[in-house]
Amino acid sequence: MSECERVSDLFGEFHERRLDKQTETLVAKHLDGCPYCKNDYQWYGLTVQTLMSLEKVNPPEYLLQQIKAKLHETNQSESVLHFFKHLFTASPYMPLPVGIGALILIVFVGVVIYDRSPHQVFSESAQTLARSDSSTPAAPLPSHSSGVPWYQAPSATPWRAEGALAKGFFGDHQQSGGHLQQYAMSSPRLLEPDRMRGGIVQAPFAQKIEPGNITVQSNSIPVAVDSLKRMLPSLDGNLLEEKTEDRIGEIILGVAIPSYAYPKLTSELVNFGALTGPADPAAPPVVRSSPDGKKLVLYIRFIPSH
Amino acid sequence: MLLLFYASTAAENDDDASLVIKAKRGNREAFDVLLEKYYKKVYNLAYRYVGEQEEASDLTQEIFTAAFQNLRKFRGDSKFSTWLFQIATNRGKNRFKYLKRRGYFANKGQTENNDERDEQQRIVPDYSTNPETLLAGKQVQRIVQKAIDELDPDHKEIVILRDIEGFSYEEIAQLLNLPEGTTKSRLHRARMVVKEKLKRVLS
Repeated sequence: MSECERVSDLFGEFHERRLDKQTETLVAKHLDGCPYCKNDYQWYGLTVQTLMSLEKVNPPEYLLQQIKAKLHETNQSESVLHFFKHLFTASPYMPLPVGIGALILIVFVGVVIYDRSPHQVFSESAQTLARSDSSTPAAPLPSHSSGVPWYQAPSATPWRAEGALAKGFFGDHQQSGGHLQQYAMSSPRLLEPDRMRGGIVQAPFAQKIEPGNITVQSNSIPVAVDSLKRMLPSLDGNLLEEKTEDRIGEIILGVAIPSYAYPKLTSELVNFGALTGPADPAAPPVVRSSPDGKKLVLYIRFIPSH
Repeated sequence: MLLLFYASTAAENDDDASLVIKAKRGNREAFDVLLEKYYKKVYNLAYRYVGEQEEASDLTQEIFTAAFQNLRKFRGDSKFSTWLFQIATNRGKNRFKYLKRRGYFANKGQTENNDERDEQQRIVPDYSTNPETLLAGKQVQRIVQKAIDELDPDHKEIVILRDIEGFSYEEIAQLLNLPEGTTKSRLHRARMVVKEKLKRVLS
């Protein structure tokens, strides 16, 4: 590297007075004795001066307002995103997918707890609409779809069985004003296959009892339940499950009977004057079937008469 | 006097820090104060990167939007102004590369060459005898801006930060995350390139 090249490399530091004394003197001496480097250095200095003296550019007057408006817009659009980002934690660095995942988990838990998927809600709405269109005799709306808890008596006046009530089936208790009722449902919901396991319906009890099933009002529930249990073998039926709601004194029986036995059972109930509707006992108001399709599954709710 | 300068700088930094804290808590007015304080300097920086008013306005808007959106990530390890200009240089460099790829500066240079020829036909200043005219002349400013536009992005940003915007070597090293030695050598090379262009045009 020639001396001129070495000096040229030091132009910047020489110009800004950042060289040590000794080097500065050497550079100054070289520039005095080398017209080419001197001229080159003059241009270098001029360039730096020109760069430093470049005019400041004034931004357009509207710019500040424009930026403020843009930031306001950004702020608003970000606030929703920000809400979800910070929904579950105070940490500002929580990733959005975690927030979304947590939301999904909450929805899932909610669905599991209530065991009511949106699909079910929609299908029930469709059933309600279909029912309102059908020509079947007016029946009270399903208690749970109208928002009334399932264990409450429907607001519509139930059909009451007149006359003597069954002695064989319901016992003497029926004679003292007990009555049965069934809330007819025009298009009973079929049970989804995945809810059936080994011939036993897996749906929770709360869901099994619905307007298509039978509700028996009795002032002596244990006797009525016992009568039904004793009657089942003669119908080739069997008991699936039994649940007692101690709090409100109800018993729910899940029974499976052959489809051919259904008219017999309902006829018998009607003959005993213990069952309301459907108008034609031979009509198929059966709600469920066992997985092999050979038996019908009925849920009979025994509620105390007051 | 020096003490007074340091005191005022420290107070300014404290002001920025408290405004940043407020802005982080969602206080829009606090961010507006920071915006008003720095937008002219950011605009100038943006202008040097793109060399045109409308593009510079767009870029400035983009820089402040990015700063606003990322303010929560600013932990206060450096000064707010350093952080802001870091965003500005990154965005400026990216925009410059993008425009260069699209031939923006080549088209712009052609138009300006025609303007320059027209201007030269009207006034022919004697640069060799009148350096003040040389420095003040709009034509020279334009030549220098063009020379800067033609630099490669790494050299361009250092010339802009050091010679035009007046940042210290230490600040530039922090902004660009470079050693001071590299910053100085890049600056020297960039100045030499601009010098050659200026010399060629004006000699």
